Amino acid sequence: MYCVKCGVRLEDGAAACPLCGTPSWNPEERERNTHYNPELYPAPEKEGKYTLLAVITVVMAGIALGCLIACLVALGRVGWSGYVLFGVAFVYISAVLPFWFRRYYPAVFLPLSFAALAGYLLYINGATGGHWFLSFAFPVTGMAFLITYFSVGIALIRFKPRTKLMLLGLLFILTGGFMLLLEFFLHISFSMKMFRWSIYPAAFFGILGIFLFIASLIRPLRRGLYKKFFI
Amino acid sequence: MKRWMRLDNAALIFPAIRNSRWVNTFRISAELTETVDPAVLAQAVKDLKPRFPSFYVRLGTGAFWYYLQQIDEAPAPRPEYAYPLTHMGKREQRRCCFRVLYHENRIAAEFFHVITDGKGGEIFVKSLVARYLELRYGITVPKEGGIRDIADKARPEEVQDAFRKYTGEVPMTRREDTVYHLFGTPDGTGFMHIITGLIPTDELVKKAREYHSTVTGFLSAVMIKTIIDMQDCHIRGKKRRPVKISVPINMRKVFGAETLRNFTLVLNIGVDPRLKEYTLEEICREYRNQMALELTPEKMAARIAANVLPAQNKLLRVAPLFIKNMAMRWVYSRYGERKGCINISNLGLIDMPAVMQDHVKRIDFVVGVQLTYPNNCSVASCGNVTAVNMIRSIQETELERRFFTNLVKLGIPVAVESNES
Repeated sequence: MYCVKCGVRLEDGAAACPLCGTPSWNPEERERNTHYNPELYPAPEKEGKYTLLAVITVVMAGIALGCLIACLVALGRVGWSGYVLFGVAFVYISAVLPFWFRRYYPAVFLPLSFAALAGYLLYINGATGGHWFLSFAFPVTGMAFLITYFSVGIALIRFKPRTKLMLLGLLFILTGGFMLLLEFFLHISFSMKMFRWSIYPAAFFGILGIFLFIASLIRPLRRGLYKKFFI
Repeated sequence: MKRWMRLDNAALIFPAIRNSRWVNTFRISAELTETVDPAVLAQAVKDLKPRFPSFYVRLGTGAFWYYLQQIDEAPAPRPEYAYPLTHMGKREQRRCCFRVLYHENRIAAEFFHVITDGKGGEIFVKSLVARYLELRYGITVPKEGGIRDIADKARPEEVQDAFRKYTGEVPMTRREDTVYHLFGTPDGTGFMHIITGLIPTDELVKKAREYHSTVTGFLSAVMIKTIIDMQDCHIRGKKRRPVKISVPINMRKVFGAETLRNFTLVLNIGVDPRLKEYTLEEICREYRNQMALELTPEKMAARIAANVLPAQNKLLRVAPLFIKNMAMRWVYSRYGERKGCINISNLGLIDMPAVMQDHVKRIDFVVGVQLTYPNNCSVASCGNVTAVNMIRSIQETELERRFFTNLVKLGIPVAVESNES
């Protein structure tokens, strides 16, 4: 039996030519593919990293629990072991947890890490009887998160070079604004003087950002910049 | 104490560039006249162990280099999977670097390239089949044509790294043109599609002689022509790239070495379609001329030196393994698969004693797809059957269709089989 299109001889009972897919003329009923074992597929490969991760998890949990128990026995209260407990939780969530997954998902793990950090700071605030969490730690952590999130997005998502430059400009402007806000929150929480240092980085980042933003709109300028700064 | 070995020079690259989905493997299978008995096969695999110490090894990881450690137990033969050359993961490599498979009347061995090359694999599979036939039918197979006697001991020259022995003093540059890259829609499931073209050897040899070429040269020329046509469908004019075939050369012949470990070098041979419209005759002539120019012991020694000398660099030697791996991955991405469009690996005529030939219908040789090449082609002849195995990891069969149709157009009868149901 031959393929009418390719001219090659086909196996007895082949339903179609494997080369061009043309159905073979008058195929006899083919029972099954006998060249290989159609039922047996290889088991998916186990990855060795999970053992290591399990060991790290157990060790970290051991340290945290050990400190907690030691504190409870010695002091009769949670005491300093609370800092250890929350600190270990923060490190675990930001540095170990993502490795349990096949891929790193920044959209999920970045917010989680910052949430863990905010939680840790909230605990310290509560434990030390501070008043700075809501007025300082929370907004600053939030802004740091936004800026990190924004920059990771710019780095990872594929944009047109023009859009990328524009977003980079916006990121710099945002960073400049963040400096001003940082000083503002320091001012209201710890009554430091306003406008002592933040205007300098804010002006630097702001001007750079505005320049990049404009450059992204003007093609010859963009090209000239690329010529000078390509890597 | 168990013996361990350094990796030979060509093998250094394979553990460095493997990943969780791909590893460099190849397979040689023999189709017998009767159904295979797994128990007898297991005994045959065991019997060969003392004679082939460089095969029964596992891949170990040191601080600075990988190494091969001999294993205690011979691997047990396994039933064949749904497709050939299933991924050989790191865990399996840590147990044994090859596997023996059986399915109905076929015995197959799949090797991680780190232990041997096609020729070494051929000798191993022939010896395995010979031992199997002896145990199964009580016949005596004469130990000729590369078949090893299991009563002998392994000779030192069989397990040595021939690259170090035959290296030249001056390295040859690796610089070559970057070639056209075949592409397609990845299958995604890991399934390896195989289309085998079965060609009567005498007809193929006759046709190759008409073009004053060897079988490998002729098949490569047809493949070059096919890929030039495929490139023309996508790119026209000056943007086209050279089309070259990577042809592994068995260096044992060039240097008279006897090693059973890797001793192959790849030559990239082809034409630049921008220069002119080449006819098949002209491509055959180009192939012949380029081969004659490159295939001298001196030039080969210089090519070996390009691989061996960096591995002897003191600074590189003290670098931790992961740094070496990064460096080798970089070198491989730059030079490994950008200088040839496809491999055509020809084991040539596999000769065996007449007693054995009566039981063996066919020998197949399949080299797995490369890291970035979606297709690969490997050839082996046994008796009057030449099996051209074309493996692919993509869905499209365009290359296979054009290649085999071109052969048919030249008047060569081709019968095709595939592993898809």
